[in-house]
Amino acid sequence: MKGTGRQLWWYGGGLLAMVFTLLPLYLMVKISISLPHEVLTPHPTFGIHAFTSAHWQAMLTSDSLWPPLGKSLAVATWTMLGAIMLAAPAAYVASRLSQPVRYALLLGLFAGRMIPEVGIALPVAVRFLQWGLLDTQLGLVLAHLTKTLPFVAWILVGTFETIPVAVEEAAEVDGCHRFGVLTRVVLPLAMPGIAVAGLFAWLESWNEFTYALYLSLTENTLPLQTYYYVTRGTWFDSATYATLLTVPVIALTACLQRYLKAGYLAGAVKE
Amino acid sequence: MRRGVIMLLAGVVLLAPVAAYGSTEMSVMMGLGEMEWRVMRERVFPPFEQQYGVKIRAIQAEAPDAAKKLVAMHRAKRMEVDRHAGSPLVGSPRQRWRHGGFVSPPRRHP
Repeated sequence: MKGTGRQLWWYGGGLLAMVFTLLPLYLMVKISISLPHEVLTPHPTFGIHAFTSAHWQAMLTSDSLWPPLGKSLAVATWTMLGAIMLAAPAAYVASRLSQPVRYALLLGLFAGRMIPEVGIALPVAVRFLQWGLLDTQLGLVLAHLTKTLPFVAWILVGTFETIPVAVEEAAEVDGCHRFGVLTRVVLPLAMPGIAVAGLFAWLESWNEFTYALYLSLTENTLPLQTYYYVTRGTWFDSATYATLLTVPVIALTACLQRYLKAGYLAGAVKE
Repeated sequence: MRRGVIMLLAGVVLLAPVAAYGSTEMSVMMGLGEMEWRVMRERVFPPFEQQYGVKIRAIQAEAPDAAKKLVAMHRAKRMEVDRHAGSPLVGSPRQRWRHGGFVSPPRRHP
């Protein structure tokens, strides 16, 4: 009886958390596909009764959608690739170091993240402007890397730590050379962690606002464009753009979900 | 009324003697809505560009964001904006002076 009560609390809490998370998303989607008279009323309905695709059509045919969308997709993808390519080798080496050195390295990486972003955004932006990186994708990718690299390295160090050295040694005994051990054994085993780190880097870059605000002039990213419609557009514009902002996030998470699995190394080494 | 305000704003921004700098491109930073930008692009910019022989690069930025961008550009010594039509009340003059002094320092009152 006590167990059932506890289970009920867990399910109730989970349901409440789910409603709390999904309700704003639902309202956003609802507004983006509702006729104005259904939303702009003293007593708006919760369900969708007067459906329209006009807001989406207006957005998809607008000139102000595709350049920001393309820029955001390119910047987020390059940031993800850059973060993985830079952090993965470093994290692998760090994971094979002694524990005190490893933690000192990780703390060093996180030192930059201890300062609030708004506090360092201006000096970073000034430096990037001096380098001529204003309004360029490269500038945004580099700025986003300063944010994402410590976290990606942290996730990957944790991932590589879980791969026993004995597995690598076994591969070498079986005739695999050092590079082969890395590419054929370590990297495939680290794929779940790399997928999580990549997803994290992509999402961080996709949603990033502060650096984009400083480093964009004529060509916005999608969060900046959404912000523009929040401040200058209608409810329907902002809801439609905000909904669009979430679509690639869901798609990417679904794509990378097959790599997210637990217990893949269970029984790999006989203790 | 709204259109009148837009035209007035455009006049203030565009009739400044930016062409005198000798540049063929003029960057104008303003915080406008989509319809206002359309009016600017269709009705205001083309005759001005034709008359003065400059190409206008329009930049959308709300007044507080424009201040941040301008401060960054000023500190980097790479000013990319020729004219800014924002609110003169963005931050106090003292704040603006602290952020790099792109306006005059605050006056001391006795």
